[in-house]
Amino acid sequence: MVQRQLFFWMILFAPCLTLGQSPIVYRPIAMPPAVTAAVSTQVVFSARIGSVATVIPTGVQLLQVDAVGNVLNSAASLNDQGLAGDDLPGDGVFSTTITINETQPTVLYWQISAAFRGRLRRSLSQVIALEVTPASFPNGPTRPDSTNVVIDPETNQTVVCNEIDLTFAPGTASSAISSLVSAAGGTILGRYWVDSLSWECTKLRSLVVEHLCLRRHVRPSKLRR
Amino acid sequence: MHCRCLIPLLLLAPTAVLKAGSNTIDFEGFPDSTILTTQYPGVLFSNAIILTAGISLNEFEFPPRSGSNVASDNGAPMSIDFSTPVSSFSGYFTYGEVITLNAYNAASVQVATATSAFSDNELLSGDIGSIPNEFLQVDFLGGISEVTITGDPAGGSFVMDDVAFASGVPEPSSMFLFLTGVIGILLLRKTNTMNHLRRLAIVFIFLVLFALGGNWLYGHVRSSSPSRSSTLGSGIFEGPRPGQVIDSRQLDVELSRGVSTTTMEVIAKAVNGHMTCPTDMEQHILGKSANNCVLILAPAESLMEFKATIAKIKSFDSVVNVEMRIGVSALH
Repeated sequence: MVQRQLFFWMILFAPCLTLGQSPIVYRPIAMPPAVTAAVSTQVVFSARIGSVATVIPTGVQLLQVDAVGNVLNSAASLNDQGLAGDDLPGDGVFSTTITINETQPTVLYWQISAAFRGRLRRSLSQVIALEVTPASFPNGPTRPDSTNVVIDPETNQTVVCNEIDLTFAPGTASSAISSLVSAAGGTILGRYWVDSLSWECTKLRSLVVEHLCLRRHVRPSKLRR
Repeated sequence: MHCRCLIPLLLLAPTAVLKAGSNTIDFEGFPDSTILTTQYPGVLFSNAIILTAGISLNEFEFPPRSGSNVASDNGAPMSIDFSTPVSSFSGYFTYGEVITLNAYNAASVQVATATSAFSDNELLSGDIGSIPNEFLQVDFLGGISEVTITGDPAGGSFVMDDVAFASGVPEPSSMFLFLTGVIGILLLRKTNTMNHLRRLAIVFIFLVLFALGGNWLYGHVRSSSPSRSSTLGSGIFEGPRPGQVIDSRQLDVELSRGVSTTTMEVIAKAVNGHMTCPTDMEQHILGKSANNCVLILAPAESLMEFKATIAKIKSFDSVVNVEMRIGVSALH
């Protein structure tokens, strides 16, 4: 009976003993995920480490890699002490801030490498891309235009009638976004990011907006309030 | 007077024979994760990978002895083949478990061994009293043709740096010169009265000569054995055990499931060979879980060349295993 109880508790606690102990580096996040060419921008890179107990605190590196993952250089060390862009000390999320000032539009690739006690090889994260967009492509957020508002007939809420938020999949190139918006007769006003999704704020021509506003299937949440 | 000239000669003579040549490899100049095979002339690495500090290598536990690159065992114990036998092999090792160096001569007979002093000499997590980059060496004046370094059978257990090997196996020409020199000295001294020191010196020369000559003779006889590859036919080599032969004209290659015909052709083309694999139906009948194919190759010139071909095939991701065909020699 005692043995059975012990077995039960062992099963119950087994996941607790192993959870979070895997020496892996989760997918890094760059904030902002895109910068403008010829504009000096500070970018914060962060990544959650799977095994905080065994990670060597000074052994987490930000690597710049090429499109196929070959390492170009070690750009900076990440910390979990609440410094250099790290929000909370000791939360297992390591961060660093670097300044990017690329003269031409391009895509930069990044990877995080972490050293763990008793491990010969470092653990490497996935490679993430950071787009350097042309100067004409806005990468900052904008406030809704309060001069052009209508009442949404479905919700009776006031919405901006000449602007709409569009969501694009992470990694969608600025050139693809520009093409899409141009095809719809719109202009890109600004850009902001929520979690890992990329949100695009676009200003459409009034004709298109009127058309959209009259259509009931257009979700009000997609319209700017 | 003559005695004064003799002493430096006596001191230099063994050095002239032993220091025939030495090489050091520091593994620098390669990008991280390079698979090591034949990048260094005369040396064939198997199951070895270059790791760079700060990229794939955890330099906090496994610091390179020099520079930023080291070599590590990759997927299996590492082996190093020398096209010309060497008299010694050494390196600096950092390991996570006990490692053993075994040296083999041209006939694949183990001639020397060395084992690490600790079970773990990592910088932060190693055994008490251990330090990284332990020096390990194997010597055999008769000639070492292959060194295997075994830690974890699955690899990933040690790194090595600043590897050195000395080609100190006396050549017939140097042996001839040495003998001539000794005889010359003896003839010069014949007219004079031999004092006690000279006698001692000559005895010393003969002792050195005996030791080196014996080793050279052993290595020479073994490496020029009439049962070597030349008598076994084109592309057939002597196997690891007496009577065994290795056929370099074909290999059994196990590929991962679902590998396309194009990939098979790419692998075969990389080694100028032709691959034949069972059809899906044949595989079903055979009940095998993977693609077991036969790779037909042109006869290799040497066993080293054949091993280099195997290493090249193994470097493909879709190759699960490569097996040599070992048979029994009709000559034995």
